[in-house]
Amino acid sequence: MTSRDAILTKIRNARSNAAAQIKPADDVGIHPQATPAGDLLGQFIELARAEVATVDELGTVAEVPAAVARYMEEQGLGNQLVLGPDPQLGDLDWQSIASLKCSQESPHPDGDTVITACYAAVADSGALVVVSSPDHPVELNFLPANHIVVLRRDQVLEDFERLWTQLRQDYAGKPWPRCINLIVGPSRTADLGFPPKMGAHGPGRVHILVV
Amino acid sequence: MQTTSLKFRQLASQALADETLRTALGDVERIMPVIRNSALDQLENPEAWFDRASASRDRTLAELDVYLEAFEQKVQQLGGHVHWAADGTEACEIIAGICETAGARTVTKSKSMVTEEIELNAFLESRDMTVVETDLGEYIIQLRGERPSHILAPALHVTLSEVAETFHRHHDLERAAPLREPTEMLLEARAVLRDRFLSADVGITGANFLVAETGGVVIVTNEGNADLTASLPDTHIVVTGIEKVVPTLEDAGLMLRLLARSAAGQRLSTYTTLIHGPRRAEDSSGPSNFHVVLLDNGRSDMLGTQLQEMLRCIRCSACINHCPVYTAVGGHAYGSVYSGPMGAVLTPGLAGLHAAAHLPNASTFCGRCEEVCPVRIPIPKMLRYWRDREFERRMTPRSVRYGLDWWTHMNASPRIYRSLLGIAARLLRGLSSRGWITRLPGPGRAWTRYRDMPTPAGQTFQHQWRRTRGRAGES
Ligand code: SF4
Repeated sequence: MTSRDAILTKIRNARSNAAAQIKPADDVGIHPQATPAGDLLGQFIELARAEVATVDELGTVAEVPAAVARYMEEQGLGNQLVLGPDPQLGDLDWQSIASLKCSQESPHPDGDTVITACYAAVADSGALVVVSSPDHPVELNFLPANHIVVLRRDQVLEDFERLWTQLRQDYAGKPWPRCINLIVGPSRTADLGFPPKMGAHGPGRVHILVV
Repeated sequence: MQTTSLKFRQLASQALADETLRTALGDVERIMPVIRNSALDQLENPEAWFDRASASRDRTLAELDVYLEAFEQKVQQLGGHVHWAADGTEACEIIAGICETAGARTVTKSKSMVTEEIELNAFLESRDMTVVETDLGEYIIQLRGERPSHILAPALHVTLSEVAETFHRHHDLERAAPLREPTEMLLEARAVLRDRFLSADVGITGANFLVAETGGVVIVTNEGNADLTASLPDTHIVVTGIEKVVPTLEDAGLMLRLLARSAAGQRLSTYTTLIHGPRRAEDSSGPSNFHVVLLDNGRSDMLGTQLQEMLRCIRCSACINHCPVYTAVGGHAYGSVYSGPMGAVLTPGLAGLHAAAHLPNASTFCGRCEEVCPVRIPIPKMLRYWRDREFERRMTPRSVRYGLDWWTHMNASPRIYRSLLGIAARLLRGLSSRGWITRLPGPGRAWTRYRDMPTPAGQTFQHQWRRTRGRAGES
């Protein structure tokens, strides 16, 4: 008998209930709290800031290049920006900002500033949601020293449950995205005493541009 | 699973004398309950969430085979491989085999208690592989050749100056300026580990949850090290226990809310990642090989027994942080990678009672562990279960067994019991000064060596009852 069969047999012998199947999700008995449906964006921003992300509210997506240049200047991050392969961002008018040197190369291992889009944000936890794809390789979220994320106002969801529902709709009949990353502020560690120290292995800065 | 739990008494005495350890543990005792409580208060009615979470875990455990098979099937559809390991040795063999097929020389790892349980690092090293822990705490103790002293903060017992000294010794920093600030140490570790991440052939991670519905593996960290471990090398191996499966994403969301709050007072950990299989044909990066190793190692034996509820555990460490025994003696005294109340139940389950006999006794039965457990595991009841087994198998020390026999006899005769108790109450009163007894004679000395005892009333309850009953009845 293989270990697989041996383990499954032991489990089956131990359990009383014979027939079982994966129950539909609504049977789990989760009744999400009534999130104040009103100001989802406000709630998200408040929690993201509490988790040490910075947030800049812009008008349209066309304002992104200037806002990036301003942020990098203020923070003293130099002028190298990695755009990644995402055409949504690549198509913006970066030429107009003479001070920025943009590249599509993957981030330099020693740390760079990277800008990416995102899939959603979750208001009740202050989390950005990023899904991997050829346009958005997962390491873009983890290798850079600074991660700038463009979030559309209409992408903010109340809670996990709404996120799962939306993912199920968007990926119906397709394989699930290889990586779904929920990101709350910069990387940190609690291994060097309390309070946690920012900038462990992932980005030390997370800056969100809301458009 | 190797344990040194039989030396609990000796290790605990050493720990009690260790001042730096006491400072670190004092911080846990002071800070963790506060941040946990305030994070749970964000959920309206946290108790209702505990009920839901424990019901979800029970439902899963009742039909564990179904969810495991569903998970396996989904992972295979995504192009990944699922392996089943009956015990630690089989798991190590499977993992070493995958590494060897990948031609691995360097393996990066993110923190995984299951790999500590099966002692994977030593096994891979014996096959000539270099294993690098990437969680900062694990990395520190790996350099120091120590075992974790807390399931979430493995280097809790190491002071900052010891960290600096460790890096100096191992990073070739002999002549460099000393590392003084935590941020300097962090930068140093980040720089060294960056190279390791980029050059590793295989990445090994644990899993916080496995989602049967999608075949997803959920991994939670605050550092981001698991994501670099999982996404940069060409092979990713997930090693986890069979009990980690949850039915749907809703169950996962429920657990994630409670895990982050109970563990570290966070709404959500910094990075929560759901991984579905290996890289796709159209992807430019990500591992081409994706393996999940499901470990039994004694878990299925707990199903259908009084220990089944222990398999609900989501490894949040709340019971550990709130335990008066753990916060007095620390994790190493338990002699097992799982320490504190959860470790005292789990270790005899996984390593056998013979290897862990003292642990079920390392409890004051104050019940805080059960109170704070987000999946409502009745830990004191389970410790009592182990004590019963211990007594049955005559593993309890003879003095304790005779003591219990004597106690039983005495209890059977109310008159003797009452008169002996009366004598004891008067004697104890005589030993006290200013309301406290600081020194007891004979076997009582072990108690008063570390703590004082409040003076008893000098009369038994029954004595007082007889005197006052009349009056209380009149009013
Ligand atoms: S037993 Fe409960 S409190 Fe302790 S680690 Fe497990 S889930 Fe957390």
